[in-house]
Amino acid sequence: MRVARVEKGWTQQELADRVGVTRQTIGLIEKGQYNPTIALCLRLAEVLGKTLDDLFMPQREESR
Amino acid sequence: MKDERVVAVMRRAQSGGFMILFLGLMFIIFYRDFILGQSFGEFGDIVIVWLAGGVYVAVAGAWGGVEMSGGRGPRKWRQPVAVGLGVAGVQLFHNLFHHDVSLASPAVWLALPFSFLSGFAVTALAQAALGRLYRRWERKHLEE
Repeated sequence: MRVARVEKGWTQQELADRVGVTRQTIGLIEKGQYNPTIALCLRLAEVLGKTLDDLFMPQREESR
Repeated sequence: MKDERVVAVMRRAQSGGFMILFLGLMFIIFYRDFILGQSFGEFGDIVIVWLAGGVYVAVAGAWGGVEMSGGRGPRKWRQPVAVGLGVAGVQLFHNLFHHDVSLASPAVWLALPFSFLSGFAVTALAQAALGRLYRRWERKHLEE
């Protein structure tokens, strides 16, 4: 998810504002220390223009 | 901003705070009743708040679709019997040792079964009410 955010050129705060959470939550998700709900995952995928697999299962994408 | 993580963390914190209050009030009630020997009139307000908190949790759980009435099958009687024994035990201890009664009195021995039965009846009624609430939720949400 960090890669997708950086590709967009957004800071954690900007992404957080777009999906309606705090910057700390984005930081914890990127560090793998917080498991977001499916609703937040879908919002993140929509805002970043990626699929859930792209964002949360990068290894599976690479092996394809 | 309604951040789901903040909401979850705050709910966990509030739940912990509730448990501290709930157990603290229970300790205060036991201390005032059994150690200080105060009458119900002196600490009844605390009992009402304590009971309201406990009943709210049980009712909100059943109303929200959590089985709060002891489950189904053979295990369904375990919780009511355990709670009933607890209630009846506290009642019995209170009646025998807190009030200055004589065990030689027939009235006391007549009161013992009544005390046990009333404890069980209250527990069974409460469990039945919770089960009814849960089944109402189940009908509304699961059988469509």
